[in-house]
Amino acid sequence: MASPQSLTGLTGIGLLFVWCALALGPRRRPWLVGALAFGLSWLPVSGMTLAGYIRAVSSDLSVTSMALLTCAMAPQLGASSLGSRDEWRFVFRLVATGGLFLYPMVLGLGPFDPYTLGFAPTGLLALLALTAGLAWWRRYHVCLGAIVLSVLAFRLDLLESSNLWDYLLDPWLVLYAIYDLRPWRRNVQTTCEAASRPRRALRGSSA
Amino acid sequence: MQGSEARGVRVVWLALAIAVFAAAFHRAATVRTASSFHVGERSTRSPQIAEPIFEVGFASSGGTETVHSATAIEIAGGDLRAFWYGGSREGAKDVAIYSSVLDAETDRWGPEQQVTTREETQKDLARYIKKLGNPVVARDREGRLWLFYVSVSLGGWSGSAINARMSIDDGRTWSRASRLVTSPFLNLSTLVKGPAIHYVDGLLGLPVYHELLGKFSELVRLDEDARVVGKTRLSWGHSSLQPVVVPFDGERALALMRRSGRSPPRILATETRDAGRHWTAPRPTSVSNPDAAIAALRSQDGELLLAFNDSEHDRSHLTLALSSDRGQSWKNLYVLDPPTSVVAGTTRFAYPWLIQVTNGEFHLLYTWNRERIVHVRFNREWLLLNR
Repeated sequence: MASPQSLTGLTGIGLLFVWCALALGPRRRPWLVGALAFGLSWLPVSGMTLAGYIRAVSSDLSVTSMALLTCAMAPQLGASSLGSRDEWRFVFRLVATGGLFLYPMVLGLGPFDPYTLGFAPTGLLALLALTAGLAWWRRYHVCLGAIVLSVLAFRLDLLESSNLWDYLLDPWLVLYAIYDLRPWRRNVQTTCEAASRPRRALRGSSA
Repeated sequence: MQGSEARGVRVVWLALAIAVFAAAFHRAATVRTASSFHVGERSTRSPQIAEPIFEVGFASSGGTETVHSATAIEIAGGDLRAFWYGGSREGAKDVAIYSSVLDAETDRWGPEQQVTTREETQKDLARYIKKLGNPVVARDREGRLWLFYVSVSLGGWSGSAINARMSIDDGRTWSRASRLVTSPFLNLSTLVKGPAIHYVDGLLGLPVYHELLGKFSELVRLDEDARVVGKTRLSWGHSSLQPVVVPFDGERALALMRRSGRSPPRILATETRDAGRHWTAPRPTSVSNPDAAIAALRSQDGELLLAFNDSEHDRSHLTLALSSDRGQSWKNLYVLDPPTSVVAGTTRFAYPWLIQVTNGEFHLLYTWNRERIVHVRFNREWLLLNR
């Protein structure tokens, strides 16, 4: 039996399976497609689940990634679109800024290691609380929900990491945020819009 | 949505956010962030006269084609338990972590046993594991043994992560593996080689190093469940690996590092005067280093003992050196001979591990030609003879 932290990690990979299936699979019965894809991620191959193989390479997704993936899939599962175009851009700007601050230095660029700010993260939490307050003020509930869920998961130790950064960001999310915000892109297509037209979004075409 | 309903939703969001942040702030405030080093008691008794001891033997029995990276710890009864990784070749899927016990009374190594395998680690961690690597054993303040060891899921050693297993019976049985998360970048490229140190508040300090884009060293603080609760960078850039941290007292410590890359072929050193919160910029020492692992400890007499390859180019010699001034200067004591008569070919000494046990004796383990783990036992009198 996997540890609770591993279950969270595998669930994140399962969500990726669902996202891919909804984007690439048949549009009819999306709940069934999603459930099958999630089940597929737990299929054992040579003693290891498919999600376990992906997780070995991808590491665990952040809770922010899981929350945003779920929001992005909502329209395909029959719910209304979550978050306006401005809100998603706000979220991706936050993610990209955090990633560009964090990753170069943790990889050894310079003596300062910003990752240490996430172990006893009073300062980081204060910054997040301000951001959450701003999101609440501007009615950015996707952003607020992602922050609150990440902080809650950190409090409950739901990932293997005990560092708040790992609950907030992962390199895949940062890469996607940078891709989504790319300045040379014309006619910006939001992630929610992309989610409702998944095949085009996965091919990277602009709306 | 009705206006009152929307206001209600906003109030719920606000209340939820406040509650979650309050709980998280509480957790953040309880994280142990700073503590002094815990340094074992120095010997205050007058040294007893003993005969010089210097013995060489094998800790591994040749059960696997290759072995590497030994680590050892004293267990009950004064016995010594050693670990290393072995298999058909480095990086092969059959590489496992092995252990053997040196009986203090008979002075003989017991049969080597498999401690953990790639498959077992994979099952425990619920992720694919390609190969296993360096182990490091440590005892925490509660007397439990921790075995930290490297695993790789993809690529070479630069794709490593560290795993931990715990034993409450001196290494006869082990808990399931857990993963140390030491980097936010896919938790890639963290390895262990040097012995752990202790903090007064019960945390373990584990020296680690990274070798993905940069090559640099860190000191990671682990709580009672081996979860990473803090870390400090010992160096940065592209030139320092495999740190060995030697605390002198609660606040001061010296870290020695393997040099790598383009830096001068010397062991690198950095120091702290505030229990590891800050470290000086690494400086090259006078001691040669051919991009090879080193071992160091502070003896019960307070002197530093170092095992290293005294060469700028290769690992053909292993030398013991002593420092009486906390690593400012070193005096070479002894150059170890190969453990057997080498008829032809080169002989390589690698990955030394030093430990001083309760009775004052020193044990040195190292990899010889990747074929055997060599064990050298010596005492203070032998050291004095070679000064």
